[in-house]
Amino acid sequence: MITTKNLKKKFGSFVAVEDISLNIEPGEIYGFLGPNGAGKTTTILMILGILKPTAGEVQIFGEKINEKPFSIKRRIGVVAEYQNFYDEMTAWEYLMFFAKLLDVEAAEKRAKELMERLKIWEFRDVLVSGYSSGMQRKLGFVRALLHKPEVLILDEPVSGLDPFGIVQVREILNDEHESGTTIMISSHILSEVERAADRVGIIARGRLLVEDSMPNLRHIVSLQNQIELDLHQPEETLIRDLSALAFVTNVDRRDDHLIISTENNKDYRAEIGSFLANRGAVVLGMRMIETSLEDAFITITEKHIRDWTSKNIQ
Amino acid sequence: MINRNTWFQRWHAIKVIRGRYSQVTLEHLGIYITIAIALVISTLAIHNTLRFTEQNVVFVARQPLFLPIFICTVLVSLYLGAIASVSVSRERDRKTLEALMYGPVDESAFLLGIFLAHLQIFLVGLAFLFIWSNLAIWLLNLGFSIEIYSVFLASIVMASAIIAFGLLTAVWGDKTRTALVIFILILLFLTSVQVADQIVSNIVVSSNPTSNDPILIIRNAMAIVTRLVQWLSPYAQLIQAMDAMANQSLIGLLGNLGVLLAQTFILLFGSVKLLSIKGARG
Repeated sequence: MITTKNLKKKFGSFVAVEDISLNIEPGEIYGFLGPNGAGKTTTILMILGILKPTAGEVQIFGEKINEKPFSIKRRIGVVAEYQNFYDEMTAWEYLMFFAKLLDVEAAEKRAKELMERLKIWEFRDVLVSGYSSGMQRKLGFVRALLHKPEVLILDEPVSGLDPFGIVQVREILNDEHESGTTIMISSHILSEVERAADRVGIIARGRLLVEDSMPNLRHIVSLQNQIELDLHQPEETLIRDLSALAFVTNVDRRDDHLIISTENNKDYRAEIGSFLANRGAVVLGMRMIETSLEDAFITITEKHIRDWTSKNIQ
Repeated sequence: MINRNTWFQRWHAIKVIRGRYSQVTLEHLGIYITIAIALVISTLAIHNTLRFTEQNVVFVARQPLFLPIFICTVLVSLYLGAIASVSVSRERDRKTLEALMYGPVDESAFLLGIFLAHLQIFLVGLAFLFIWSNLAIWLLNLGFSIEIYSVFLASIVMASAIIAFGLLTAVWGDKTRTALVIFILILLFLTSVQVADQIVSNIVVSSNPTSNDPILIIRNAMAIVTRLVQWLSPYAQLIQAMDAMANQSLIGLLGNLGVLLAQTFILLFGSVKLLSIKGARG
């Protein structure tokens, strides 16, 4: 659906994006992550044809965007990080202008439906300049979804939204995804991406560090698993014996609460449960601590930054 | 490869952008005030022409409406060129151009849309001028001349060159204020060269001038610069077109129209190329 091949962008001598090759499959939700200044927005702008790549190419729907910009852009919806509206227009005038541009059939009905879902319908005749940043973001969503795009590109989609707004947007995105829309989300709110994304690409200093599904990403960064254990008044000897188990690498105690680190990527809860039962310990609770996207993100980007720094200092 | 469908889709975008910008300009008082001022000045100009004719006992004034029409079209085209320039640079300043280009719009659709919107408004101004000139012919009992319509036609091509020039300065200048300053300064330069040439031509040279006479050297230099400016300035081209019409020289008229059309095309093409290079973000 969206393919970039060896995409590169230089601003003077500064390389903002280097050799980015992405492949976003039809119907999937793709999380595009990276620290500030990693090159996410530059990559998105090149995908949209707003910035011209220094090298490499972009294909959307199997076509080059610079060869068929009009037909491709009619099938894409974009929510940008910074919205930039026409302040002198009301929300309704703004939407109808874009509906005309996109040649949307029954635009009024579609705009009304989306505005109602995002709870901004009653403010349709208010000037956009009078909208709060959250309302403007919602308006950006309505504009992006007006023409029922096949591809949605979202740059920080929930930034500025209150919790209600996040839920409303999430529901709409779920519906769009279920109807087959391909979604690319660039966000620093990792929990949102983790909840929704089928696959994730992590970028730092303009380079794509990893691109994989969430379970595989967890596997890549999980050198060890952790098990959280709540015991009733555990004895020191029990903790010492627990630490001595072959697969346990560390036990961290905070009162009756233990964090047990285990080697490799296996679930050792059964073995630990059996050991504790044999020792007559009273188990109040036990659960696996899964590697979150945040852990994966930090581990991968920090490793890259460490490698980059040591390489450049040498 | 750009296919035919792309051109239809581009034309659709041009039409939508043209519609929005003509509406925005027509909703503001500026254009009406400009047209009103232009018509008042034109009325004063024709009044002065007729009084001069009367006072000097000249009973036949050749094309008395040419000067008022020229003044009116120059003022309206200046205003529209400046507004077109502001429209483009404001879109870039506010970064709404970027948002626009997320949709089915490219640099050429955007600039051509704005160009056509302002040209369309020039036609509205011309409609007022048409009514005014017919009223003047009727009320002042002036002889009707078909050449007036040729002046209207030539003024449309002249306005298109001025509007296209406004677009180029907008893309070139990036910021609204810079674009406007460039637009005004270049037009002032073109006008002042012609005025300076007139002044230098009127300076009396000594009775036995030599080739080293500084006045002659300046005069010759000014003549070269003026000739160049007359090629470059759309207003000078319009004056030449009016002279050609007054002299009933069809070839001269077509030549001037051709130059104006070429200027429009080059300025538009240059604006689109420059915006493609600079990008929507500037």
